[in-house]
Amino acid sequence: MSALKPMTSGRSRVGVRRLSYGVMGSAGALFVLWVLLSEPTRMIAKGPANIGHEALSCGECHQSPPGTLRQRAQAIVGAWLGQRQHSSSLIYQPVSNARCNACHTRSGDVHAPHLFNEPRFADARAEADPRRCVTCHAEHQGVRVTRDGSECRHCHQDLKLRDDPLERSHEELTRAGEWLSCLTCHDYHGGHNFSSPERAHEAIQRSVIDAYLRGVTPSPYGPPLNVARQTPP
Amino acid sequence: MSRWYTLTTLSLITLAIYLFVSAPPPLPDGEAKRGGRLISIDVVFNVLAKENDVVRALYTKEIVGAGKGVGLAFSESWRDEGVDAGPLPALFLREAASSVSRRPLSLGLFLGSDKPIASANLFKGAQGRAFEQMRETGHAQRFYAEDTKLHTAMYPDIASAQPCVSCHNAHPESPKSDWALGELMGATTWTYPKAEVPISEALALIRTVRMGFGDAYQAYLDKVKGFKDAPKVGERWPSEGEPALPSRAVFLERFEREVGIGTLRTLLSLDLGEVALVDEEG
Repeated sequence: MSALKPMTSGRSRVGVRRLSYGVMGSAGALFVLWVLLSEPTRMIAKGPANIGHEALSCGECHQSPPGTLRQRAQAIVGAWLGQRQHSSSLIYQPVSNARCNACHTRSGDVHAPHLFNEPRFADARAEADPRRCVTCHAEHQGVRVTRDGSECRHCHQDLKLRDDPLERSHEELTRAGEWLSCLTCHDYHGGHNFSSPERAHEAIQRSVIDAYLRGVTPSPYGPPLNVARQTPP
Repeated sequence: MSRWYTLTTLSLITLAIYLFVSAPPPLPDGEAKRGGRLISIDVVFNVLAKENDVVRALYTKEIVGAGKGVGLAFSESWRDEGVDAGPLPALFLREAASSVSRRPLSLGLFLGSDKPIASANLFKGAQGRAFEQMRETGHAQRFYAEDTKLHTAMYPDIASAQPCVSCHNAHPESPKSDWALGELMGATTWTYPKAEVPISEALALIRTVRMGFGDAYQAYLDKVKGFKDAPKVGERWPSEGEPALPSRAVFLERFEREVGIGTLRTLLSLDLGEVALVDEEG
């Protein structure tokens, strides 16, 4: 018969549990504080930077919203309660087109995102929102373009040309659903010194386009007309 | 249990004090209202559309029309390297719209038709229906685009200059080859997220659009610099019989003269509410 009490009595089990809750809670609170107060340069990226963005620091795209942390928390709660119209972000502002435009001026962009605000592009907006740069250039993928370039189908279903220069007409190509062929002759943003070929054999091979979109090879459309800034203003 | 209850209640009270009671000044909630009444965005659209009509007519007649007469070229592919040409009037509007889109105000400007040269510019949906109404009535059409939350106004785009009809009639892809002067060719579409704006914002919108016109013309002048036989840019116009182009300042000065006092008259006729008068004596 042992007079020794069991090592883990009821009271000490509760004490250990409370101690562990306290330790975990404190660690959690410290981690949250570290995240809240840390600068964007210490963020953990969710993947490799896209082509051309390798030298950028996190804070050059992920900017802090205006105001102090407290003001932002106020604005978020106030908007949630219906006391104000505009909310805020707590830590980082969403990365919008304005941030992209700070470096990529793209004058003469024939598919500029703002064009798709026009009412008649409602279907295109619903299927693949072309108003946002990140729709096709989702970041942290280590590539140049994150779509295959067949989005032309959303707006260019009617391509019947009276004076079609191609041996196989645009109308035939679109009717056959060959939307992956568009980029073999057409530079989407028009940002390169490139003239569309008029013969099928002069078109860029699709495999070359794919490699370019993945960021493996340089532009098959020739040199860019507008060179992006190397750092945002 | 009661300890947890107490802890939770104290935490919530602390949070409420942090957020509301001892809080710093709140972040601005949109633009500050400066007193005076708000103006309907339709009034502002009317002003902008009128100014756009003036600048397009000026560019079409005095730059494109007169420019062709002295050997200047204008083309759809004007931006291509090696093409010594300027933008066609529709592309001039696109350049202006592009400049406007890069400014802080979310103003949209577009051009389309029910008989466009490029099928991608064909009106459909709400714009298609509104344009049908416009063909019947000849008047501007307005609606609210639910999905984008944008107040929208469409204004008639009339063939106001001979180059408009001659170029469209001659184009191989034009679905109509008998356009005539004064005919409704299409429509400009303006969009804005607010139904009403204070006078300061109305003035900012007008200024933004005028800067857009200036930037569009400047884009042409920048291209001209690389022409093999570049026309002289300064005080003179192509209509004076030689390959010359007005500078940006001269072009905009002429535009402002042709707009006249129309914009000013419209703004002065608005009921802006109480306006503090300057005391001349002190």
